[in-house]
Amino acid sequence: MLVETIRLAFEALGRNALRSTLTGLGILIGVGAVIAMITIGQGASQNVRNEIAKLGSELLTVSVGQQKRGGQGVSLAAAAFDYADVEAVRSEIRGLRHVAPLSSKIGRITARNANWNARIIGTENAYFQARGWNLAVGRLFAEAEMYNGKPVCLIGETVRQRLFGSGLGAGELVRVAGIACPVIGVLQARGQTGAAEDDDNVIAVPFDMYQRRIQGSTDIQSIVMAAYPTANMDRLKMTLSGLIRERRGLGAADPDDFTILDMRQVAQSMMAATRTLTLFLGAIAAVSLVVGGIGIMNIMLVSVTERTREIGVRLTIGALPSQIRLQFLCEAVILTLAGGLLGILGGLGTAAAAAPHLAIPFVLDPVVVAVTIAISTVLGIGFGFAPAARAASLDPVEALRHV
Amino acid sequence: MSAADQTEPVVLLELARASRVYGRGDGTVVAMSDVDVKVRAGEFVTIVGPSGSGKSTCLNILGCLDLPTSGNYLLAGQDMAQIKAEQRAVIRRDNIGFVLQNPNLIARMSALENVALPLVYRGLGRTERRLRAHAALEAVGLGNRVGHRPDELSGGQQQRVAIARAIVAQPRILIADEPTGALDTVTSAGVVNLLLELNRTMRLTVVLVTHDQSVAGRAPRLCVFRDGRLVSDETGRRRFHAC
Repeated sequence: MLVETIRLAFEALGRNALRSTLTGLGILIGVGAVIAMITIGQGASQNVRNEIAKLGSELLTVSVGQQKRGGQGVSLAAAAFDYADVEAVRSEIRGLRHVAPLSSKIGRITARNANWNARIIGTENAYFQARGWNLAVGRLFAEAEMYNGKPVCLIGETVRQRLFGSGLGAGELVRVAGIACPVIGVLQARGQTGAAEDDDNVIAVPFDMYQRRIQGSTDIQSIVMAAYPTANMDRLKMTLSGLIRERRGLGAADPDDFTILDMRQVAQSMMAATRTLTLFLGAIAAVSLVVGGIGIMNIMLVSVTERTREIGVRLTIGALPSQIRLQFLCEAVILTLAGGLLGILGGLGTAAAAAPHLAIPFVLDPVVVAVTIAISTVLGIGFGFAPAARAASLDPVEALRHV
Repeated sequence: MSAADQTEPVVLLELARASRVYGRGDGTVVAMSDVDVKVRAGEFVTIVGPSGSGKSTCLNILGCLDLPTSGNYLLAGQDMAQIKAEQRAVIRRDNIGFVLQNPNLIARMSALENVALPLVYRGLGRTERRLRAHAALEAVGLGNRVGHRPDELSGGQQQRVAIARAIVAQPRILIADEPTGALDTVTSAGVVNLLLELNRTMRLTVVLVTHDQSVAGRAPRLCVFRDGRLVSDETGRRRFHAC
């Protein structure tokens, strides 16, 4: 019976092929728009996730000065950290895997005949470990190099390209602030992280050497930490804040003169923003889906009116109202499902074509596809119900009089 | 046939003080009023009467397409007002075949497909449908017209296809509402002969409404309606005195 009903539905739709196509097109566009928007949105989310993963989501940074709201400005009055602060954090805060001091400035570096401006950072190996930043070639600082002021350096991928072109970089000499430093390793390319500054445009020297020979002071601008993935970040931040306040002698009424940046927090707010955007775009697209559904309802109502007499005949010769209802529902569902399936292909195609232009990955989510198919069916039943009920409730005697 | 058929046939259709009123309040129209009638299995009942006398209303009720507004209608002892519409549709499907003034064939389908259509709603398979439809068309003398579309058939042939469609599911009752109304006298006679033959050979209970005096004249039992009332109900030889 169901097979027969489906066959009848196809036959009825086929008799008005153009009308059926145009009606299905409404659903196709609606579903296509929803799928494209959600897929693009998911690509954007994936993008954010990737970038957060690059930065390390367990990353915490304590910097000197209170960041002003909405700006990057730092109050200069705040005192810098010193190495004792780093030691204190390392020994007193539980739940941290890596703790490293970090100071940096933009400076000119030269090698052979090339010169280039890069961020010069002074730090310890723990910094690279905290950020999960591996070496492409070479090695990290040796223990001795870190604390005896010996000039060696690690270079980022951008620096390697600028100074050495196609050369390996490792084993060459780079002059940093006039000091010749052998390149002991090249850091893996991080790629664009969405931050304004190129992460790979960096040259790292041992912390001790940086303080003594480049900065000329023992000031530390920030402390970079990585927590264990299981750590309770909120509590960790509280104890960290307490420790630093205590070490800086801040009274209960004094505001923080340092800032703790939590990458997980940043990640969460970025994810929330993209999720909101995805939902928003999806909702706009869903409006067109509803319009498409109304189109189906409209055409089905026309179809019921046109076929009133035929429905009367069918009822008279033994069709049950439920069978008539099923037939019209079937037609509506076929329309929405056909439109929906083509819409999914169209939407995914659009998203796949748009992804490279938007610099986001193309994410094919089977759940979204499945949900959309389900929604198409529900839409067909939902918008087909009123016309089908009307057809089923026709009085056969009246229907047969219909011209 | 069983032994029971040798004795008094069972009452298949029964109207008891059945009335049908259309509309409400001041604008009511009484289409049928206090009709009592019993139709036994295998009977051939002809209903006549002027336009608006209530005969079509009566037929719609007998065909389970409508319900009396007061009184009762019992089909095989079951009160139709007591059951739900869908259930009534099932009873209609399983017991009643319809032939209407207009053959109401579906134009895009062949005679065979038209005749097979009721079987679709009874859940029969394609092969079974074709076999039965073929047999029904043979029974109405159109075994050689199975592939023709309605517009390739004459009016009389179309009405025969409609009759084949009405009997294809082997109903107990055939309801015919002016089946000869659109046909010439000769063709009419052929259609009525066919109905009489089906009544005889298949023991099909037939209720026929007609305007046609020549058709009425051949009826074994004649009911006459006037102003919504059944004014005469005569069987066999006696009815000729009533006419």
